[in-house]
Amino acid sequence: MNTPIRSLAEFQYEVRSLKLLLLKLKFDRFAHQLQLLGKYNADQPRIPADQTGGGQWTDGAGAGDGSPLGAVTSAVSTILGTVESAISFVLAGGFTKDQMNMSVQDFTSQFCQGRINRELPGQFAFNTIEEIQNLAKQGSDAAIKCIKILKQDRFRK
Amino acid sequence: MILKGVKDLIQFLGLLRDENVHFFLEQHSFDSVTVTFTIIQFRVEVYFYEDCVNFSYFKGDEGVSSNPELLLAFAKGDYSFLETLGIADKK
Repeated sequence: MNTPIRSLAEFQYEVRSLKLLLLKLKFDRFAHQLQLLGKYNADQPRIPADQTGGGQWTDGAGAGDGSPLGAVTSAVSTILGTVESAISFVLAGGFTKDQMNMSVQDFTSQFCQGRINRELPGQFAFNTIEEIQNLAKQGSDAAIKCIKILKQDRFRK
Repeated sequence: MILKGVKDLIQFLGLLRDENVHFFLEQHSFDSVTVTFTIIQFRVEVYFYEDCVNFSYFKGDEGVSSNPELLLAFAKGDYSFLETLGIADKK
């Protein structure tokens, strides 16, 4: 089950990701169409009519290899790679949905500078980020402090 | 003035301007904007989230130092050195 979206900022981030995903799908379809076009080659040999499978294309490279269409397909692939990179782009700070289920101890050891332990409230070491966020919403000062420190990119590795 | 969230940011900055308090804006997390302002003895970081505002303050005495070892200790986060000087709390 998907984790519910918690804030307007997170919602906007999700919308931006979906827009990029849609863009990628459009590029995918375009690339597929180009590939289909690229495979068509009027000079590609066919099986002679008097043999089994007569009229069908024989094995052989399509016209896409080395042809202008092939170059376009290659360019589209490059663009696709760029779009995929953009989709995987993660804004600084904050938490991803996966990180919400991590304990504070695991999160800090993976993502944060060790020195934050000087100020991080120790009682939350084995709580998940999600649990602490809930405590922070209930007004726990220690939880608010904990979330504040964990969330900021300036204290990340 | 009641600060309920980031929608009150501009109003708060107006207050700082009216009071001639120097401030700057930063973003350290995608869901908040940080306003840092300084008055003598204090640096205050105010975090404007979508639905709440909170802050931290840091006290100092405006003293200056030209001790390069101390500066290096700050840059490296060498807390043991800072502890020996009594600058950082022992943990």
